[in-house]
Amino acid sequence: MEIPLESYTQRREELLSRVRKILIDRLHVRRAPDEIDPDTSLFLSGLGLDSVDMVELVIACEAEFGVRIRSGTAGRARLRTLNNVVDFVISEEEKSRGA
Amino acid sequence: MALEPAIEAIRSSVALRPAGELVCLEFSGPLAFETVDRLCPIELYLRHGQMQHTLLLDDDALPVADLYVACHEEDFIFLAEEREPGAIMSHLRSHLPAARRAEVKDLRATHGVIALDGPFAWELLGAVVGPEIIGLPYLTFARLDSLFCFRGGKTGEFGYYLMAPLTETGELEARLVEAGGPFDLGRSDLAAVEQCSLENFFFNIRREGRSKATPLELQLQWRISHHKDFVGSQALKKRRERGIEHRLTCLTSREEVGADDPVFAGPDLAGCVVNAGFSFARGEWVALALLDLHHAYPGLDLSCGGEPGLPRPVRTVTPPVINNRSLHVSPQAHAYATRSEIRFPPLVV
Repeated sequence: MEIPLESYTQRREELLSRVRKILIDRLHVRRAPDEIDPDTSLFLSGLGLDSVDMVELVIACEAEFGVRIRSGTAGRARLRTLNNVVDFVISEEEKSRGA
Repeated sequence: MALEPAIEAIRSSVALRPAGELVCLEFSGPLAFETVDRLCPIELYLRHGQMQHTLLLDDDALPVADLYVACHEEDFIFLAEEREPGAIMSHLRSHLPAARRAEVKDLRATHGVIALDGPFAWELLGAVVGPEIIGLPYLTFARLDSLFCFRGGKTGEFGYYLMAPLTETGELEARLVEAGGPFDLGRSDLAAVEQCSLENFFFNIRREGRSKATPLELQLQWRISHHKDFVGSQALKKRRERGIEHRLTCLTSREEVGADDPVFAGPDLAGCVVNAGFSFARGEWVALALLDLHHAYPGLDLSCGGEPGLPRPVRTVTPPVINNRSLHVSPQAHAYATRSEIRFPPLVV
């Protein structure tokens, strides 16, 4: 069954808010939540997070969303932007619903 | 120049091109910091050898230039792409009276810039200018005699701008070409770089930069500060208080998409395409559209085009839409000659 647009976008906004909170509270990104755009790169150009932040982000996302993120570059590819993180969480949710 | 081989070189080996689109300016003298700080919408935290990626905005907070600002001792260097030719100098003249601005030198009169892009650009550069350049961090630069080597790039791959006196750029290019054989060095141009930028959601001042959108709609808030006074800050503040109505969103489609195409959600207009190009890596069109906030989310099936009854399906997606090889290449561990030992994931996300 197709998910109604409003439910889908509300779910994404809720997840985006939680990722923004991780970035601000745990990784000390000095930005207000509405200043962190969903497709902004988290590393290098963009928010400028480094490899240490990457480890912290993985740990925080795993705890917050109950997902397992592979280490190394494969995991990093899932965490390039906020929307990447949200996509990953939603796909893991769908997988567990289908299992 | 054929687009596909140029993009292939950028995505898999290394590509060279003259970066003729760059406006290179030097700000010097006692007013250098004050001048640059007034122009730049970001908090400037720069020490010698560092760069920041920001913008120049006009009074309406619309982008005038896509800007790298670099700190060179007491001076500042701008490497900028402008909205239209002459836009930056016109902007300087209208916002900074000569008596209140730093000495500004247009380096294009004396210097040329060569750009190198690709997952193994660092290796070719190391072979030509010296191994010390290999470890140059992102958004920093090094000066080697008369050569400035800036690390930036807008393709999602390793990227460098090499700025040298005009009398030396020919020889530098010849040395790069001579050393480039073992790296399958290719030639690229601005069109190839723009397509790679599009696939990686890098801002293009000549496309979405002309769409009358501010950094708020363009998802460029990371390049600005909401806490300082700069050219355009009042307009930006007002726009932020009022709230935006559109956001730049990435689309893909099996069918051709063009800039200015309207985008529909069912029968309703949802926005307009502002940049589009064919992705050889993906075998489909990639586009950017300013969509209303209800539809500015990845994962939605929309349609595009103006012919009644002939909608072309498009899907909103999360950029970047390329799994850049540079993410998987480590200058400490890898080499182009042994690239077959690197386990690259598929290029397409």
